[in-house]
Amino acid sequence: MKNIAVIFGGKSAEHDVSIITAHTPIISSLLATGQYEVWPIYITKDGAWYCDQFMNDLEYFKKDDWHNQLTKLKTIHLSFDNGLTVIWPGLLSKQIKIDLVFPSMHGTFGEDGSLMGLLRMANVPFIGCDLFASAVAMDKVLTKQVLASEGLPVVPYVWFTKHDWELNKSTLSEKISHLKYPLFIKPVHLGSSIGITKVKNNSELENALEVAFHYDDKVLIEEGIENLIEVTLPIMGNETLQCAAIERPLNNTEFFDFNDKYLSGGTKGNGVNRQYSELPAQINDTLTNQILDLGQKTYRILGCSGIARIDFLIDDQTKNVYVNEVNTLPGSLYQHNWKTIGISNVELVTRLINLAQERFDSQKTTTYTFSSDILKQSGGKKI
Amino acid sequence: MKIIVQNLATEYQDEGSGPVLLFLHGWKDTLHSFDTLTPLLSRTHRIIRLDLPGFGNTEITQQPWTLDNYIQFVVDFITKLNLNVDVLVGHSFGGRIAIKGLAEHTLQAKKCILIAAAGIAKKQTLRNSLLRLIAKLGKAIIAIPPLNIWQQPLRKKLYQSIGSDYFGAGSLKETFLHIVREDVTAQAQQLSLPTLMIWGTDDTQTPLSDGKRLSDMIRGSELHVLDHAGHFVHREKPQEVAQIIQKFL
Repeated sequence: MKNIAVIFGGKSAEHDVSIITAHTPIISSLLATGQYEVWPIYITKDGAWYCDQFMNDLEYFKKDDWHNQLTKLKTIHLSFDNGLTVIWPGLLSKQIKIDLVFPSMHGTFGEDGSLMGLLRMANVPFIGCDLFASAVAMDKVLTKQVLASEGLPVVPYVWFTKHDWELNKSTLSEKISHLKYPLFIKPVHLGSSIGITKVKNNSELENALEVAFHYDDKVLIEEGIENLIEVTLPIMGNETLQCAAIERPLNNTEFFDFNDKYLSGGTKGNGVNRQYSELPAQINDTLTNQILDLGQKTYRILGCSGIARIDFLIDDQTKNVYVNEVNTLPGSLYQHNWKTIGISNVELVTRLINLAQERFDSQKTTTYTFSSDILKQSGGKKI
Repeated sequence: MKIIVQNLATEYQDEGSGPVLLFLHGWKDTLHSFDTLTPLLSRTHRIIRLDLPGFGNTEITQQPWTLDNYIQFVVDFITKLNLNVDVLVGHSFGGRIAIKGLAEHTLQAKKCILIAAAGIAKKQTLRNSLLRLIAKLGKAIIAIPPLNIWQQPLRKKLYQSIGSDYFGAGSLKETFLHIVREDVTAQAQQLSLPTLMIWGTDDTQTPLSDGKRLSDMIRGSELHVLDHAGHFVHREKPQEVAQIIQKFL
């Protein structure tokens, strides 16, 4: 049986969402296959790593005193010698060689490419997007810059850092004044709509920026679209892509916030809430084709692999479509959406594992080193 | 929506227009406590409610807080939003904040509404003294091995049976102790602004007797008692509570 590690939690504002995604559907589906020994690796908000198989049960994380129980465990060590090994230190030391990793970390220090970098160094295959796509997609500004340079449509925006704002407030305010209200103020590196504020006029701007800077050092200010229809498209694959259904989040609030996404399902909610979505989105064929095309182009331009979800904004009157954001680890893998096109949770995780192995094997054929005698010559008369 | 107050991301809602009513929720509660009441009042008033630190979607403080810390937080929230509060409304723990803040003039409002407010110390009844004695004896006995392995579960059961939030306070345990140990009786006696009090007959957390005592302390206050309603009277009978509030305003 192969050992698969599911890594979740971490130093991120989306820490708790990550725990949900890890369990529903990832761990539950991996266990259902009966083909894997599943090792849940939980990273605390302080960065401590723990692994124990009783964490395969989501109920563990719902107990009142689970934080206290956790501190009674020993933190694990990782070894990168010839692959990835998890080590439980102590007198009764134990170690497990990991064959495959399923990253389930949303946001910073995980989905942003940090974890992928670690796994590349460990030379272990892992599921989902690689370092480069993850890092670019995590930065909403970089994503827009890359997509716009390839001719894909994005809404008008302004971006700056906290330092820029403190030094050049008047210049940046002038730039902002060219955007049409309402505006959305967003921390650049956070997902799940955390720290996003919709502002209707200039007087609301300062407080909204303070909120965004509370979470991030870099902010994005973008024009809101009138007559807005938001849709999202999950895509799976490496070279050959498969699109899930185009989905339209239906929300009563001003934008689809964290609670809409993860909590509004109440006791039945398991990650993304179906009740708040129109699935498939009721949009015409022209728009559908445009979104499928733009979605796949975006996926390829950013170099995504495994799975990603592309968000779009549509102006219902002009029918203009804009690529908005790319999410390289969709909450709960958007399992509900894949189910509507006939892909079960087990099939979803199995296919993602195959895609990870395929990418890993293909990377083996790439030559990363180069033989030279530069060291011997260094320090000599001429190089 | 969010705002930063004392470097804490603070969730709040701002609905309606007109004179400003600021709502403060109870312990282990959130701004959503007033979900049913808000639309009944927002046609004629601007209703502002927030999640206090450690509750709902407002960040938790690193250090344990006292009642004064919460009062200062509400003051800073009001300043940040540039509000002129006409009426301060506090439920339970929110009432405790309102009583002390208004009495010491740290908070300002023209009127005050207390819904099942907490904050006045229990009377030293024979029952209370007896319970305290039993608790002290019990604590000493269950500290002896091997009985001490049941110490935590037994304490949990005891606190649950007397309706205390201590065990459910999680990382706010220290804060909880600071809050419940502070008696605001003296401050209640200093309140001089028009005060409406709303209580349910079946309230077990802040019993009606507390409401009556508070009513006697606050000069010119009016106490409205709703039958067959408990500690969350504003959720159980929002129509009646809204009518009483409208009349008072």
